[in-house]
Amino acid sequence: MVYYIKKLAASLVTLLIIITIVFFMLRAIPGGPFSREKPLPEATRERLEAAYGLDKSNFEQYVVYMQNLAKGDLGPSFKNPAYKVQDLIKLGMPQTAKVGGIAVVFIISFGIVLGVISALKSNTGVDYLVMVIATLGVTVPSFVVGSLFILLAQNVDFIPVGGIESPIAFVGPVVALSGYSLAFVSRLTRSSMLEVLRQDYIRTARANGISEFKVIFKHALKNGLIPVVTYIGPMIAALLTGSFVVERIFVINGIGEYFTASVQNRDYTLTIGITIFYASFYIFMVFIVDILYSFIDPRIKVGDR
Amino acid sequence: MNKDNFTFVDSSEKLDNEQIRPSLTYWQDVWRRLKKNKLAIMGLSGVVLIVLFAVFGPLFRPFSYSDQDLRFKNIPPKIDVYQLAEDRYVYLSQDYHLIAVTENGELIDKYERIKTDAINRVYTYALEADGQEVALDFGNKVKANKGEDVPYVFKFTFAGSETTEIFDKMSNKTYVLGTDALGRDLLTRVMFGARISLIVAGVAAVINLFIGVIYGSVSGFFGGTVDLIMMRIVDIINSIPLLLYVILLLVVLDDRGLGTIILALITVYWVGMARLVRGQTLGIKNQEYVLAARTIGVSNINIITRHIIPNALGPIIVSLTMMIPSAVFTEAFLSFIGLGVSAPQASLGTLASDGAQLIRVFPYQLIWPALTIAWMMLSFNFLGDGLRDALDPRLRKG
Amino acid sequence: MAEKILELKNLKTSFYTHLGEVQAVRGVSYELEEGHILGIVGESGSGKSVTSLSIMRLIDTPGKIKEGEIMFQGQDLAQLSEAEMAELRGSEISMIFQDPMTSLNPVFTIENQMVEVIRTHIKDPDNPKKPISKKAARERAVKYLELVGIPEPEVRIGQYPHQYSGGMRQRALIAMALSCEPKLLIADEPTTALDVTIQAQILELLKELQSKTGTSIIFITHDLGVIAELCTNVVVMYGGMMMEKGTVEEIFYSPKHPYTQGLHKSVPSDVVGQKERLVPIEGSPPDLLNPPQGCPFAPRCEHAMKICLEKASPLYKVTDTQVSSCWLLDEAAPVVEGFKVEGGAK
Repeated sequence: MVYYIKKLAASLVTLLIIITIVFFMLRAIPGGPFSREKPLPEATRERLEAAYGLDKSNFEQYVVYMQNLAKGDLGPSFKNPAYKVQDLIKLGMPQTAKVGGIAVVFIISFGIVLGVISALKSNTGVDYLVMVIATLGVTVPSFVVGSLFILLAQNVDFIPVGGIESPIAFVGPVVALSGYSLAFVSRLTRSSMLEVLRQDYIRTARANGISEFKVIFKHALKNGLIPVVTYIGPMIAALLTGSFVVERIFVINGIGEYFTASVQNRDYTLTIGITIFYASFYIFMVFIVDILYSFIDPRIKVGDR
Repeated sequence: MNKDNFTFVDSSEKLDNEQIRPSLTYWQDVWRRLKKNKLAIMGLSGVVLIVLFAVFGPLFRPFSYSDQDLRFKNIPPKIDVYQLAEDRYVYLSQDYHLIAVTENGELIDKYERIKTDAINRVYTYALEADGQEVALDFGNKVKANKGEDVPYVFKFTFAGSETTEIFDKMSNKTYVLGTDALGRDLLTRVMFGARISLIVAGVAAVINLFIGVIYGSVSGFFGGTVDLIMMRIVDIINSIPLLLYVILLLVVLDDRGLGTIILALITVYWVGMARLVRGQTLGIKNQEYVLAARTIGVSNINIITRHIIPNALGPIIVSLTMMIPSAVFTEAFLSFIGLGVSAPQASLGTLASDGAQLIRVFPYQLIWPALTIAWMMLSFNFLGDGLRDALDPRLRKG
Repeated sequence: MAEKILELKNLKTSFYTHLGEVQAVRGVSYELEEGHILGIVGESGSGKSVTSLSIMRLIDTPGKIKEGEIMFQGQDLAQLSEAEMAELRGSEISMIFQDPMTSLNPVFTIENQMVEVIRTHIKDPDNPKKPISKKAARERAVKYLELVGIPEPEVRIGQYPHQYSGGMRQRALIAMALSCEPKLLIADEPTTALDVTIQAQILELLKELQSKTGTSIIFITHDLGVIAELCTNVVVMYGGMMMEKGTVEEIFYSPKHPYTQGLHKSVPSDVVGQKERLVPIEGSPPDLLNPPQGCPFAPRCEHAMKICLEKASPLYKVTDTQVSSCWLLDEAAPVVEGFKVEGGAK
């Protein structure tokens, strides 16, 4: 129990530090909401005033900012002050979540299966094939895959070129998004399984007459998946940032697209707001993964004798 | 049985059976294993080739990366050429610009469109040089787009004769890989793009190497509180995706020069190397030769530089080899979302980004930069994988 | 004469690596009688472990049993299918290995691992088509943990391997190996990785279990002292072949092979106060990639003869129970101190 509380506390502290750093970065941007260079349009000024307390002292501004954050208020968009950042995030969330969610399921199921098959048939044709595909997945950037897919879609009628209206439309974005992580998970599962299958306890299980099926899918797999589970947290992050590119190419209006647009439009508060959102989500995912991890590997709950 | 066989033998006859294998130094062994790995050699060659391409390639091109020729916008590498007369050849672009070409595919000049007849679907062009008119009837193209069957697509009329058949689909000899939206030679741009990508990636990787090695070895060597604090810092940095820091930094700094990007890349990416080196240091510092060195009184700095780091060199090299494609990718990614170097300079990522916007009409502008990126990443990755296998001491039995 | 439970006939096992064929076992034959403890002694690389792994058919590619028969309970184990072998493993023949620290799966409890083995082999007494119930299996597991001396077995069975000490883990592994009452237990250097005091405990335990359950044991080690403690018969291996075989008294008091004699001379006797010289055996073991044509020990043997370098010796009968593979025992050989023998070639 203590273990979990410690982990939670650590996560929160980290988040706090990140947010603070980001806050000061926001203030440092030339031409940003805190610079006195250009006079801001009156409407913008009023809203920013309300949100950030522009004329108050630094410390007070920080307090205001943190208070707002606690309420889930990320402030108004710099370019379109009528909209609040958190509302825009809510708007883009469903699209990103759909593509991302499917990608996660796809990666976990396919990646692990491919990795296991590859490990079992190591050094045969199947193994090399899977490994070559995996290497390609890891080295060919998502925007290349995505663009090639669009090319395909243009020449094939039933694949829509962009958007996620129909089920088929999901194929392109999901494949482009998952490419890297899928490849990584297969390689990781494979090398992890190969490592595990060399271990003495596998030999013990076989020597005691356990069926080969159980040896692989019970004894080996549980150990072999440990590094994979550890990777899943960072993988979610990869998917989040990958969405910038995929949403742009496939014209999907998700959070990723809002982010990219905000960077190009110099909509600073939106950029920062989404960044904080990403950071929080990521830290949360890592926390969940840590908890999951403690259920799989009984050795790490040291305080728990 | 022959009694003779039962005589005793002396030691020299017995030793014949001893097998003595020649011993190799560690690095000779590594190189030998690397050579055997076909993929790794492919990777190595790939790396060498792309570096030569980037460094020396532009010397062979008559254009620079920023030379624009607005007459020849968006011309692909493979062009359909029509022969209108004895020595008059033309190419019709996607957006109905007419280009005068030689029979070998070299581009000469662009025709002016002097008349537009939208009802009959006829454009009339003339060259500035000699004023002779060429009429293009594209009515059938419109029908063909709707799915109708047509006997021919385009009909050119020049000096009385009509041409409807394509003379040849030939390579664009002036611009080997085609041109972009501003008439710049794509091949030259790709070469320079590769140069920039490699420079950014290479410099960033090397600086990250130094920072990471120093940070990691100090942290691991001194241990205790020093290590605790240093690693806490690393953990906090690592707690959110490194890319977010870089993006934030670039947004804040707002300057898009090569230097800024490299700076952004070195602020956080050293943590991976630091972690690795720290782990290696922890393992090595407990070895007996380190203890021996300390007993003699070798100073800490010397122990770190002369004993610890050289022995950790294996994983460090592998890491370096993998950091380069990672940096190439990151830089390409940043360029793609608009945070890369500013025009007219272009990295491969910028080129890919520009090309992606035109993918529906001019896919070649994305394909070549993308393939180059893929080539770079594959080569470094294969090389890195091969190095990792070659340096693994567990395989030393071979 | 007790019944033979295991008989190896000319077993040959090789590993086909990219460097060539490594002949790990080059024609080994011996028997084990029911209720006896057979010790197999030899250096690293002598082939003693590979022989046992071959019996269990646990040799993985690139290794393969080249030739020979492994007769167990009337069946040739070398010919059985993998499925048939899996049935025998753990239930008729069990094996324990050298390093207890890594031989248990770290992510499952002892209970989980032992119950799994029991339920694999033991059927429900009321319904022979189904495995024994989980409850009954657990009870059985606890019984065996108690048998091997694990304190508070009811509680400790629910723990994970990392909560057991090295000695305890080896005991648990022994319990697991014996839980289905195998006829034969193969122990491959089970005490080498343990402290000397724990070693003594485990040996005591094995002796006790053997007398209680009557299981036949093959005990592999490089330590002559342990052999003397525990075994009834001994096989001495070198360079993939058997050098000598006999009862423990014969091997210790009248060894008839230069290698065995060399082994005795290189180990200190445990007579306190006696000053003696330790005589190491010069040279190093043969390269099994390119094994010598003749006796594998010849290059290091002080009595080596011309024929020793050319041909491997056949097995000469010394007594009813002792055989030795040494040309010195041939009638034609010159007489050497300690190699007098009554009979001729076997």
